[in-house]
Amino acid sequence: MLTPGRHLVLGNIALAEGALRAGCRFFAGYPITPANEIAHYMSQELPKVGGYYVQMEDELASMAAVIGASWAGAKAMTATSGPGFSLMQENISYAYMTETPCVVVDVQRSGPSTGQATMPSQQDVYQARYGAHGDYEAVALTPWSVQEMFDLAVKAFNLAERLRMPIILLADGMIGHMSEKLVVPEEVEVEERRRPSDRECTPFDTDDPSLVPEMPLFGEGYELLVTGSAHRPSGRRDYTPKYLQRKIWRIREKVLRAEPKLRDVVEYELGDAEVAVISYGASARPSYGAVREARSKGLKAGMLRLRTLWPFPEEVISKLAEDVKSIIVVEMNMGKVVREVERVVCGRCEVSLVSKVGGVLPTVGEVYDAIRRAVR
Amino acid sequence: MRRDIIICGAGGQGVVLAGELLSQALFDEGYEVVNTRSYGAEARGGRCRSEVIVSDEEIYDIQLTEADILIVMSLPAYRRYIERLRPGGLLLLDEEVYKALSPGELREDVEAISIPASEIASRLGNPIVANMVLLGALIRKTGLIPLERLKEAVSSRVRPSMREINLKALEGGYGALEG
Repeated sequence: MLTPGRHLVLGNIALAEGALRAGCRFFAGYPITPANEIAHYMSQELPKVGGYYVQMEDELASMAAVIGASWAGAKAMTATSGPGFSLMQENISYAYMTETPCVVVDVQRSGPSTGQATMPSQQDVYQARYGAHGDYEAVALTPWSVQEMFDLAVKAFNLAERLRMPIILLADGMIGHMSEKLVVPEEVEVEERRRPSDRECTPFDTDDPSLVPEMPLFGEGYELLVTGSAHRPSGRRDYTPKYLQRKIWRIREKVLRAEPKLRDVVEYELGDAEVAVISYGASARPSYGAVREARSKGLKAGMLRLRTLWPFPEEVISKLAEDVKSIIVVEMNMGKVVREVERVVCGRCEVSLVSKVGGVLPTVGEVYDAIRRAVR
Repeated sequence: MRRDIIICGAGGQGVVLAGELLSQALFDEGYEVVNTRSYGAEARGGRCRSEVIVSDEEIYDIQLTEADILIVMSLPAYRRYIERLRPGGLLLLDEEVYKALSPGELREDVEAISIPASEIASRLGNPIVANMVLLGALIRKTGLIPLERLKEAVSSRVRPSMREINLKALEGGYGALEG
């Protein structure tokens, strides 16, 4: 592991380091560019801290192993990229249904399909939200720097434990494959799993206002049933509508209730801004460069950077729509988050898109030009 | 101050390592650094490039489209990346590449310096350290950081059996140019 202090490291290594410090002790995965360095680092470091690294036969098995490890008591993670993320979706749905805390990393590459395996994109933002079947509310975090690969990895593990669900760490190949400054803190705040004190616990329902039940583990004497089928609070399979109705309501509502605390946006120069740029992940970097350039030339531009992409920060963006004349969404896809923004803004201000595909980032110049057009 | 640097060549020539060591040295000197790399699926021989952005401020434009400095280690890489060099930029190329250029292929709107990197490396006993010769020459030409900083990076990152020859290659490149 890295010593506390300043390091020059690859984004993927920073992410793995953050995971280790958050208590990750199990990693299962299948190789894919541009996520490989995470598995590589975990394979070296996990055995040193009493953890386990398993290279599985594919992504389906990787996700299954992560879920099993979590129910055995380990904080568990897998890391993949677009095509592998698709293969994991079935078991990610199983993790939502069984309320299994775990972290799934998608270092997005340029698709569809094999696409440009070594090049970045932000094309999986809907896959992170809607990729798995069934009804659920997803949580996805989007780092814009090597430092945030570390910070948000820690946060993802803490949220997984707090909400008892899979958390998607939605990185991209630009930040994953880039080296820059990482400051490793002396200590990080780590949230531990809430375990039942009572043998008669109901692992799949609770009266607690958080709606997050305590989680018993296998091997500790509980009569524990875990199934992807509809079930009673005890875990026993039961198709009576009321049980699944309550379940779906609760796994959605537990996230919505937590949303004000999950909300994580960074505002730049929005005070008197007439034009607001909204971006996330790697594309937020040149976007912010453009906002600074616009400010230096006297243009009233600001920026809202989404660090938690899902659940979508509707309140913040709704308020922004009242304050600015124009919103520009910058993303490395054909326009996905822009549709969420349009839905929330609902015609109250102009919304436009700077879109970039083909494995390249938007440039400062391209975003700056869009700001200038919007000001006019 | 901001400098955009591209190092390019063939897989196996140490392009990525050169980018990493240069980045580490610049980082140790206190600069903000962003280092990215790109390579083909081949372990050897494919096209390979390392980008180093160094600045005394935070870096937001993280993907290079143009460079101030281009370091070239192979002819195909020259042909692929030469247009990325800004007019007036600095081109450092291995003499073997320079000699292989067709008439008129050398850009005239840049400062081109040919370094006998492969030759110096071969004289030291291993052509693989030509990358370090070019880094030594870069430091002498630009004065970006003291040579010592680069030597420290090499000493801490390169395996012991290869350390001495890499350090000599750095000095060889540094000495090949007038300051």
